[in-house]
Amino acid sequence: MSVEIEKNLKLSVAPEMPAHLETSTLEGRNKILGLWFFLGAEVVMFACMFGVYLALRNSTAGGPTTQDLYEIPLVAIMTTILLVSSLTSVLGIHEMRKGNFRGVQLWFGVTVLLGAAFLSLEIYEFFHYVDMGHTFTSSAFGTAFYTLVGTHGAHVLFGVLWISGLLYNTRKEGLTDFTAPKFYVASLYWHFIDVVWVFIFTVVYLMGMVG
Amino acid sequence: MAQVQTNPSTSTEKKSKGASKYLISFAIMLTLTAISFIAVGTGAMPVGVLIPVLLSLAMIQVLMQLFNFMHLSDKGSGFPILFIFTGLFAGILAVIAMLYLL
Amino acid sequence: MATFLVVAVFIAFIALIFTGGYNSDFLDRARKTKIWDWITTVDHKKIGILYIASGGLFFIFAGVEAALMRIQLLFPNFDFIGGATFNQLLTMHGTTMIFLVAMPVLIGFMNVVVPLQIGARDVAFPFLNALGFWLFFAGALLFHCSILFGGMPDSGWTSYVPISLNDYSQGPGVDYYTVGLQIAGLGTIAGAVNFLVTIINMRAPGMTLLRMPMFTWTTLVTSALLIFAIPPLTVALFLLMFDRLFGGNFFNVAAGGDVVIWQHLFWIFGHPEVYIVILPAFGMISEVISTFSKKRLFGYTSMVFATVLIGFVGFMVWAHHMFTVGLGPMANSIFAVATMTVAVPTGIKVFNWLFTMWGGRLKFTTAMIWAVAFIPTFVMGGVTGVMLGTAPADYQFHDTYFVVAHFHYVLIGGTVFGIFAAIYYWWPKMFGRKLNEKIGKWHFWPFFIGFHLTFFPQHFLGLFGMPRRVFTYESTPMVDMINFISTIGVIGMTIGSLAFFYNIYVTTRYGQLAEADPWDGRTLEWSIPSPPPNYNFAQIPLVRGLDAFWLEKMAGKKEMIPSEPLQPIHMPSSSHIQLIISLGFFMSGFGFVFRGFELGALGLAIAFFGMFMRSFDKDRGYYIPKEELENVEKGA
Repeated sequence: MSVEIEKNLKLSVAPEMPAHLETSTLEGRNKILGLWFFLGAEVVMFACMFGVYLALRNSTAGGPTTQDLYEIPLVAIMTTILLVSSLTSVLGIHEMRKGNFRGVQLWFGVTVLLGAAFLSLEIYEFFHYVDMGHTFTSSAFGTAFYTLVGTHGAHVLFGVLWISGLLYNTRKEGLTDFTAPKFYVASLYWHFIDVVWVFIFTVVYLMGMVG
Repeated sequence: MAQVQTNPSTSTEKKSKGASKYLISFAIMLTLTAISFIAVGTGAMPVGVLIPVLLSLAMIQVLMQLFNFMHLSDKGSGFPILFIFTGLFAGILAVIAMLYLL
Repeated sequence: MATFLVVAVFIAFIALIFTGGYNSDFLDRARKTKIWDWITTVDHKKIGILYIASGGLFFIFAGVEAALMRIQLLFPNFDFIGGATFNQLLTMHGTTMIFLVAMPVLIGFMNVVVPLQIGARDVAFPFLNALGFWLFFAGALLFHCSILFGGMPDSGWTSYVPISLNDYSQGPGVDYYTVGLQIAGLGTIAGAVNFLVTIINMRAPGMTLLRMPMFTWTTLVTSALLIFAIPPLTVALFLLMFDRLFGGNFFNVAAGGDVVIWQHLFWIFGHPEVYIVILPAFGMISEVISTFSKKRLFGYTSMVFATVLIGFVGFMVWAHHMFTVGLGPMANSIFAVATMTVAVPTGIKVFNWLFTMWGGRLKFTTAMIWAVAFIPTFVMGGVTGVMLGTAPADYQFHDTYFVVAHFHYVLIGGTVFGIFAAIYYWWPKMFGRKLNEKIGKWHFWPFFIGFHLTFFPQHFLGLFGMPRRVFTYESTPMVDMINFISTIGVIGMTIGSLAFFYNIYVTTRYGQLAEADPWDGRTLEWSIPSPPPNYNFAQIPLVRGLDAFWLEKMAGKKEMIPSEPLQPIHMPSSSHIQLIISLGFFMSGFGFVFRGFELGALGLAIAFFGMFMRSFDKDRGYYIPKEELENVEKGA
């Protein structure tokens, strides 16, 4: 009997994960898996928006076209900022796995600052385009552009607020098996924002520049 | 919910040799990005070749993000991988529909 | 807006009279009431019941709307409610039945049953689960506010552009649709994530994926479909909202927009949605048939495989709703073939149900009768589905009553029959009382006969060329008679539904108390008391195979083998933050509907404030001590 119980217990289903702090509790594993499923939904949502953008990108109704608008330097700077922020957040996770809370605070703090810098550049970019006559209501292309890039920007804003709140929230508690999954989940979300941006700079900006 | 001591677990230390793994990935991603921007900026390639190249570079970079930065290469990531790629599949279907079926 | 304020103030006034005014211990008293207990609950069983109850409420609304439409169609050129109201009722009926009846009731059953079936004490995210319900409810309430304030949406449940744009649908009706469904959709995503994680991470020891009960499997696949299908709807609704509220140009052809985008996005969501509302019903039917045939589900593995396959193929067939748009013969052929492929796994399922009954010891309880009636009715709907999937024939059927007949056969004959079977089957587990079997027969027969009387003739109505969604017709020999018969059938369905609600009343007042295992069940939920204690399992059971409880019973045991010693159980605390978040979204939605963007922004701010409150919440639940558990278990 006991042999059979043991055999059945081995069939136990929670996926085996490496022994990290963030996966040491069931709650932690649940949070991480749940966020992945949420990201699965986000993938489809962004894909649909990309589809709409691609369908409408040449419907400029006489307004400025993609080639008129996009310029390499600004996009390159924004891309670099977001890519570096992706690195800093993974370094934060690296420090977390080493148990160094100071390092976590430092790297996630840098991530937040980079996110804010990215947002400021994006706002500047939007103002610039509006000055050029490319607005939300000027054409179907305008509506689709601001919807896609704006949704990504809103995600960045939410991420900045989220990570700032998390840093403030955990400043006394430090790293525990309760706070570690929170950091891990926030960093996954942040990487996902960068993943979406990779497609945005490729599909929207670079492919827009070549026509 | 006990406060966990801040000593590093030895098994973790052995597996990932410091932050160098992430730095190398980052350097590769930065290079891929640079290639994309330079290819567009210089106009060295004809458009028919350029667009597939750009898309493949983006795809490689995204896979690196997913597997290195988001730790999908860890054990027990089966369901996340399944769901992200199913989402990607459903999304690509939608994009194709918008491009060719309007 | 003014009406809304007056009503709100009035309600507050009445509430004050009944509660004796606001004073220092008002909140204390409010906290002790049963209502407070229910609205702040994070217990999956209570949330499930809330889902099912609100589904039942909206079922009444949508049913009355349907009856009114059928009366309007009783005679040719009849003037009962008129065209404008007909369009509004049509839209409300369709949208409510799909989003606010079928989905919440199914999700409600998932909530109640799935954790019990997998041997879990709770769902993975109790708070998120509660938030999901309240977001759904806020969205549903907002959508139904359109009846009172500003007029109902009137462009059909598919809300095709351009008829749903400002030019053609003035007034806030369609805005209620876009905003209400968005809020409800957020809640649905939350629910789906919760179920996926619960099923994947929280099964009892020994319960491998291929030992999960069929209903749990269909829940898993359905949740995955929700994850991938709701986002396209969200995007579509966003686009429509931007066009209507903020002057966007997605569907404005003059500024380069394209109306077919809406159709694609809507049906990329819409077709998986069809499987979202039918797959859980398949699961319910599987449980009921297997229990009342006293046999293991025939071809369990092929059943699982068929479920996954239906879910997967479901994403590649959406354009069969758009055959007549003009996508070209190539696209039409591909989608036609893909559509017919779905018939294969569905056929596997039908044969499996039949073979489960074959040679079983059948017991025709009310639940079983619904399940058995499901099979031929659903097959008829499936066959007309394949007919519609034949692209050239679809040019004939498209937008006629043939389509109406088809989808009512799958949605009523499939989903609703499945839900009724599930209600009779799981009611004892949920409430500790068995629904009255005799009244159950009075529920079944009039409803079943009335249903076929209403919808079977509509196939011919469609073949004769009567278009759907018209509010009246010219007198034509056969068409007059069929419409008349069709409306008469509604009487049967009404009698059946009334008998059902009467049954609930009688059972709640005088019903026979149910034992833990009233049906001689096979799965884990029957191994614990009815209704279950709030921690479900005092000790998590050990699962030794498919139909775990049945195996133990066959081995001569009365209970499951525990997989752990009795120890204190961690429980989540109830919370009111989900109410704040949902109220924020509701306010915001109201603001957007009436173009009061300040109110919209304020509502969103409240919602986000609620999220941060939750994040700063230090309450991490409580433990039920071992002594208390021992006492409860001894008493049981």
